[in-house]
This record gives sequence, C-alpha cells and structure tokens, in this order.
Amino acid sequence: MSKNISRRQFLKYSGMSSAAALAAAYGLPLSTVLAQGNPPPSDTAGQLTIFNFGGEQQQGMYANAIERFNARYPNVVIEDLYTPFPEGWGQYITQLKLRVASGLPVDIVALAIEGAQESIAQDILLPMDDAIAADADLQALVDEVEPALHNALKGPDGTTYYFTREWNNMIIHYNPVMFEEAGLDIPAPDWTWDDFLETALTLTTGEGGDKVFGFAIPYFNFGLTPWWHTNGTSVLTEDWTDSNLDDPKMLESVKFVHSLVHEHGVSPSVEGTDMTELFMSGRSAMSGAGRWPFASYVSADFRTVDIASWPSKETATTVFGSGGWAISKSTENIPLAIELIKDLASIETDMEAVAIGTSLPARRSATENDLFNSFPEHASLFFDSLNDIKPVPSPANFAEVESIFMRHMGAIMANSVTPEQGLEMAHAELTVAMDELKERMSS
Amino acid sequence: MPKSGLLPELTPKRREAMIGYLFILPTYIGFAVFILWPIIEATRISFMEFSIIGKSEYIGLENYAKILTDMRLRTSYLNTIVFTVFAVSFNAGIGLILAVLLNRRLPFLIRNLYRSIFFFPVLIAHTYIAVIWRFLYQQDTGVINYYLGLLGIDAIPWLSSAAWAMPAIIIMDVWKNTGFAMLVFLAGLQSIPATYYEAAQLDGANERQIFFKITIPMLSPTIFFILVIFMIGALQVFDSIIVLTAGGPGDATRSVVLYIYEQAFQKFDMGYASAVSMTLFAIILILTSLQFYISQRWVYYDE
Repeated sequence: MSKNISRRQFLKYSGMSSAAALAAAYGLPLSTVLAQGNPPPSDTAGQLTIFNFGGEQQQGMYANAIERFNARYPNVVIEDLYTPFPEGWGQYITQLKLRVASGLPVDIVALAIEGAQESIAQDILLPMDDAIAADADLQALVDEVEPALHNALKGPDGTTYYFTREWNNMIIHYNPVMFEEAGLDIPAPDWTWDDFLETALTLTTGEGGDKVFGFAIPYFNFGLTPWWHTNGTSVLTEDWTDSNLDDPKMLESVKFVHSLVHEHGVSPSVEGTDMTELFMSGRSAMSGAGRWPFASYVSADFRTVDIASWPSKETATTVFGSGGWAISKSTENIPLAIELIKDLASIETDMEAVAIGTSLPARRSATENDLFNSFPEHASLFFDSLNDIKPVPSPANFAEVESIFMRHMGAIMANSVTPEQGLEMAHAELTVAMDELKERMSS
Repeated sequence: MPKSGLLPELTPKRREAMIGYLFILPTYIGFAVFILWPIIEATRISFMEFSIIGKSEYIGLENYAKILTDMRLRTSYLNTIVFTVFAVSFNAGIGLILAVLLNRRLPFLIRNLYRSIFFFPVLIAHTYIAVIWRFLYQQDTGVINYYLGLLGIDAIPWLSSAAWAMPAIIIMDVWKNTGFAMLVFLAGLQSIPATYYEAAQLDGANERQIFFKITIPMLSPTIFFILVIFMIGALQVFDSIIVLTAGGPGDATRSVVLYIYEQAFQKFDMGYASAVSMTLFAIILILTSLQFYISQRWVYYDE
C-alpha cells in the first residue's frame, strides 16, 4: 500500500535522527520513502550539509550548483564542508566516519571510487534504486552517464548509491613539437610497449643537468595502473578480493616500469619528480595523466601538448577513476537532498567542469562542443577510452592496498630489493590484508 | 560591608591561593581537555579493536602482544632513533657554533641580518620546506645534483636510495631547525655575566679554556633545554618525512609517528595505532626522565 507524505507530516517528523527512523515513523519501509518521487514544495525550509572535496576551482563550480538549488528552494540553507583535494582518501573517509559517528549532520557525501566501497561497506549511504525508479530526473542522471562510470560506483550487489559527478583516466600526454623535431610520427592508436620504448629512447637526449627524458613516469598508484591493465593484469584479482601480485604478468609489468629508469634511462628517478612540471618545462617529451593537468597547461599558456592512447602489451585499455554524490543515511531531508543532487550533478555543472579543465564531466554530451574539443587536438580520446577501460581496483580497504603496494614498489624502484623480492613481499602482505577484509565483511 | 553568609570566609592566604588557582584554571582546562583526556581515551582504545562506526570490543593485551612481533614497527623505531641522534646532535652542535660566532663583536646590522637569515627557516611550516627540498633533492633534475655535477660528483640518489633518504631528511631538518637552537644559545651566551670572562682572562686562560671551562658550564642549562626539546620533537618526526619520502623507499625513512598514522588512517586499526602511541609516549617519558636525572651531574645552575 503506498502512502504519500504530506509536507506537514514531513516537517513534523523531521526531527528524527535518521532517514530510517523517519521512515519508521510512518510505518513505511525506507525504500517506499525513497520512492515517493515528488519534489518538495519550493517554500520548504531546512538545512543540508554536503561533505565535499576537490580543487579550488571546483569549489566555485559547486557553489554555483548550490545557487541554482537555492533559486528553487530559497529557504534551504546549505553548508558545503569543502576539503581541498584530500591527501590520501583514508584521512577523508575517517573524517566522514567521525562526522557520522558523532551525530553531526551529513546529508550529501562526495566520494571518489577509491572510497566508495568502504562507504558502502560501512552502511552509511542510502540505496537509490527505488528513488531512481520513481523520479524521471534521477533516472536521467543515470541514463546520461556512460554505463562504465555509473557501474563503477555501485555496491557489490549492484545497488546504486552514487550519481557520477566527474571522472578521469590515464592517457599519454606528449609534446608534438618534440616529436616532430625528433622525426617521429605521433603515437598510433594501437602502439605497443615496444613502440613506446623505441619512441622514448629516440626522444631521450643530453646528459646530466641538460638531459631531456622521453617519458616522465606518473609515479602514483593510479598513474602506474595502466601498465598493469595493458598487460592484462592488475594488483588485485578481477573481483578485487585477493592479491594478484604473484601473477607473472605483474612481474613483467613492474620490471618494465623499473627498466624505464634503471636500464633504458628514458625516465628520471621517480622520487621527487613532478611529471607535469617536467613535461611543461620541456624536460620530458611524454608523460601520463588524465585531464587534470590541462587547467595548469591553460593557465601557463602551455599549448604544445596532445594526447594519445596508452601503449598496449596484451590489450588496448587504460584505467579510470570516478567520483560521485550519495545521500547519507543520517539525513533528515531525503527529498531535499535528492533535489540538491539534481543540481550538483546537472549538465550545467558538467559544462563548468569542461571549462575548468581539471576533470572529465560525467556526461559525454557536455564534451560535444568546441570548448572541450579545441584543446587538446585529440580530446575525443578521453571519452573514446571508455570503450575498453577498467576502473582502478578500489576495494573497501583501498587505502591499505595502495599503501602496501606503493611501499614495496618504492623499494623496487630504489633498488633496495629486486622486482621479484619486492612483489613477493608485497603479495604476502597484501594477502593478509585482503583476508582481514574478507573477515571484516563477513562479520 | 555586611557579610553575605553565603560564601565561606577565606583567610587572606586562602584568598590569594584561590585567585592563583583561578588564574591557572584556563590552562588546566586546556590541558585536561586537549592533552589529558585524549591520552586517557587513547589508552582505553589501545585495549580495544576499535571501530569509528559500528561495534568496538575490548581485546585485552592483544594489540600490545602484536607490537612485540611487528618487524615494521621495529624498523620504524630504529629509523626514529637514528634520526633523533643525528638531528639533535647536528641541530644543537651547529646551533651552538653559529651562536658563538654571532656573539662576537659585530656591527648591529650584520648581527641582526645573519640572525634573521639563520632563523628564517624556523618560521616556515615543515610542509612547505619539504615540498621545496623534494625538488632540490630530485636525482636527475634537482638543483643540488646539478651543482654537484659541476664539481664532478656523481648524482646522489637522495630520495630514491634507502642509504641516502634518511641523511636527506636529517639535512633538511637541520637546515630548518638549527636557527632555533642558535637563537636560544645566543640568548644563553648573552646572559653569562661578563665578570666570569674578565676573571678568566686575568688568570691567563686562553680561548679554548674559556670556552670549555666557563662558556659550556654556564650554558649547560640552555644546552639541556635544547637537548630535551629537540629530542622530544625528533622522536615525533612526521611532517618532514611524509612530504619528502612518505616513509620510503620501502620503510627506509618510516618514523614511528608515520607508522601510527598508517595504522590509524590507512588500515583504520585505531586500537593498534593507539597501542603503538602508548609505547612512544612511554619511551619519550622514560628518555626525558633519564635526561633530567643525568642532568644533575652535568648541568650547572649559577645560583
């Protein structure tokens, strides 16, 4: 039996401490509350708190979205708890958990894929499938987004919690002028690791302080992942439940990255290297990143850059990560939170994201314009990479997985241990960590 | 004025004491809320498998038993001890040398200029300094190796070698903090009564004798203060390391506090992180007490 909630009833029970309690007050299952599908009246009063992250320019973008929301709901006060881009998702997630545990208001949560599974496992988010089914606007937020992006933020059982807000991938950034000067063709879409190495060797010139490198390694977990994916392997198994570091292909991939610095000399030592700075200063002919450096390129008027697919070994793919908006279970304002998400994840926000240039918008339709496609020349490659792409492995203990792997990778790159030794130790440690996670999830 | 009868009558001595307590009450409230209570809570959590959201349970001494077999923690402690010994020694030693050099007869402007130059790094946050030094230390594109190359010295893998990473952190720490030691020593030197030096010169003492027989003993309270403060700070080193090397390569520069951070905010094992914190607290307490005890033998207070 369905039951509509009147505004008076909603306001009467809005003092409840959680959405679940709110639903219980009506004798309704939470799913039914979520499935109301009716936006609240425009004179609704209330307060919403957003737990948010991003760069400075993005903060302005979301402030504009909040302004659009307030144009519809002038009596709703929004508090945007903005964290400049988190130094480690572990700390951001801990702050969120502390806020929830201490009973402070959190209505909308912004998280990247790296923290999504942890937040879902902690059961602090509202499942949104019923709300999507009942609300055409919410359904549109899902339909307009590439399936790969939306699915990457779902729960293990396929439940939708997040609405995609942005994403980034890893793609090769190269200097076409340096390529031309070296007599090289631009990278072919199907170029291989061997082609890449040959290109990097040709582009590496000079010695000592005057050396120009062929490729500046993006030395962070997300940045290294394309090397694993293009070799048909990964740090974790396909289902993200076990360590995959004993895969011979992982050893092959790690050795390849190691050789770029220590054998072929086409890449600078990874510690202390800012790949974007090296690339922009002409000290490296290629690097790897997503769309995020383009804001820096534009502000520095650095235009001699184009993008190419990541070189393949076994398969032509790369990696992506995405971020999304979810509604906290502790919210007392489900309908208002839903309406605010519609503005936060709107096409207007996507268009602003295109202009800012630090990430890729959730909708491909937001990129079908000159602003996006004019720079770089092959900008369409960003969304074309979604045809065959894998998300960055992001289990509920992502922070721990990343920490274990990068620590041993650091020892390998420093030649403190051989790649074989490093991966063996990392595999042992990661196996223990994944077993502990499985135990935690089952209890 | 008639007595109200509501408050007990205080003697002048008790009234004075109460006023004194009222003055120090804000500090004690701050101490209780921001230092004492967190220590008590951390102690309590150290005996638990603690979850921020969800169920926590007491597990007795399990976390402490885990400490005994944790090889990575052992490595972290070794790294921290190495850092402490060298960083404190160099900070104090170089700070003292700079203070002695600046305590000579110099033009006012020159002395103030050099004092400012050496003290300026102390004012900058560790994080900013570490970001800049990270660029300086870069093996292939860093400024330090560039100039070493001009001198015919091979590029040093400052941050990408387990052997060099800790020295790199110590050098940066000394560059940043020695100015503070210099300033404190300078104040200490300037407070030594000139009569001692005059008497020593009259007795025919040379510079070396004056320095070791007069300056050092008179400066010993200051030296003791610097050693205690720097030791406590060094044992808790975090900011420099997390930006410069993040504890790497591998665990080569991982300090105890960085290890605690990893356990708490990457592994979300708050109970174990608290237990490790308790061991660090105990070690700092023991070492500081030991310093105070030993100081009775070598610190001279001119009373």
